[in-house]
Amino acid sequence: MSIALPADPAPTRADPAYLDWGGQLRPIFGGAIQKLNRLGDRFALNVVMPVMESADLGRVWVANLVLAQRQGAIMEFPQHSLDVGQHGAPVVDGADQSGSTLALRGFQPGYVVRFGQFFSLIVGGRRYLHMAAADVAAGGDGRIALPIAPMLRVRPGNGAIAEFGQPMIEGFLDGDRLSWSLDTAMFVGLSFSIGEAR
Amino acid sequence: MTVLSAALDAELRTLSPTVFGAVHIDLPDYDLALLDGAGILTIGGRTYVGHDETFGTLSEIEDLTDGAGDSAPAIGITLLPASDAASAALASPLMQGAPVVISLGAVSPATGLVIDVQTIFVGELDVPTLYSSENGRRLDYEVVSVFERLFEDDESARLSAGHHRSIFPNEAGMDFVTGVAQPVYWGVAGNPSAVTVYSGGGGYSGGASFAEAY
Repeated sequence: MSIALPADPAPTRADPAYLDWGGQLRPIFGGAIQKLNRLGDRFALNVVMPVMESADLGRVWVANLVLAQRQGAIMEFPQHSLDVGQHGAPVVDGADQSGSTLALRGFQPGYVVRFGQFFSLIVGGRRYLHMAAADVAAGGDGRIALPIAPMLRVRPGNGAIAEFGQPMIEGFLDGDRLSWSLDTAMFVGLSFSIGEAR
Repeated sequence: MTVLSAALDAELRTLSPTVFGAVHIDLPDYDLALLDGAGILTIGGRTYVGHDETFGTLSEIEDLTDGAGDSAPAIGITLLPASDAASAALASPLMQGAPVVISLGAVSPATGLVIDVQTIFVGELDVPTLYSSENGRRLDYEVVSVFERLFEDDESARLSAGHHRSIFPNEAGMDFVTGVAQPVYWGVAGNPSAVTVYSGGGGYSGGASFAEAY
């Protein structure tokens, strides 16, 4: 079970990344480039935390990260200055969906999902981060057929929760060595990277 | 024209096709269907997953090479088993001979539907090797073509009581047969014989017979 990292304090710096498992087939003589896409594209997040006092915050963060090194971490995926607004309680509408369009229900009628707005799907207790690929407004019945990116990596069941309010990224901490720095002023410096496991 | 189906051919000619590899292993008590990336696809009514809860994920597929001489075409696939129990199950002798189908296909990213697949290799599981290393554990599988069976050439067959009994354990018809030129004793290093016969020496009979032959 992944460890939910504290929401406070927020990172001083976060570098989200899109992991593309495909590749460009680039001829060395300047011929046309072909792009080969593959399954499984997903997200990662590099995080630099503010210096925290060792006494409380630092200790708690380090302890959480040490547990997360073994079990995986869940962290808020930052969306700068995006006011998500009153979105209702969206869930997946219909089982066995696949591809790059997701039918959702339970939105506040008239709510507009923005192009580039992130959300996480909870499937089998695990979060999968996706992005809206168009501005779409919910109808009067609160339903949306939302174009998403990347394509679905799992088949969510009917009623699976879509977290639009605060999207979360869930995955493993990068690397086989977790380290943090302590200094004489009793501050802890932390930075880490989370990559979605699947 | 290519060997691919028209739909797959057309999809692979587009600017940015989405491709995948799929491996299906028909284990004695489990249907293992894996994709090379994280995802879930239905191919021919069977659901393929990127991560199997029991048997883990597909890590690598070796280059496919043809066999020459007395070796059959073979390919190596590497699995990352989800647990120690799974790796033990995958490495058990019962798994040997399980049919393996490796195919390549394209999927429509918009609908998530498979356009078509092309079968690349059909064979059977041969030798599993479990590797454990620093920060890792993997299971290498040698998958051989069905041509491997053609190399079972029965060279050990002899007209002897021992060989006869190895096939028909209760049939004693050969036991007291004398005059069998070359009995085969099971579990004995060599064929014990009091007399050593040398042959091959003195066989050269000179130019006269050579000339006669013509």
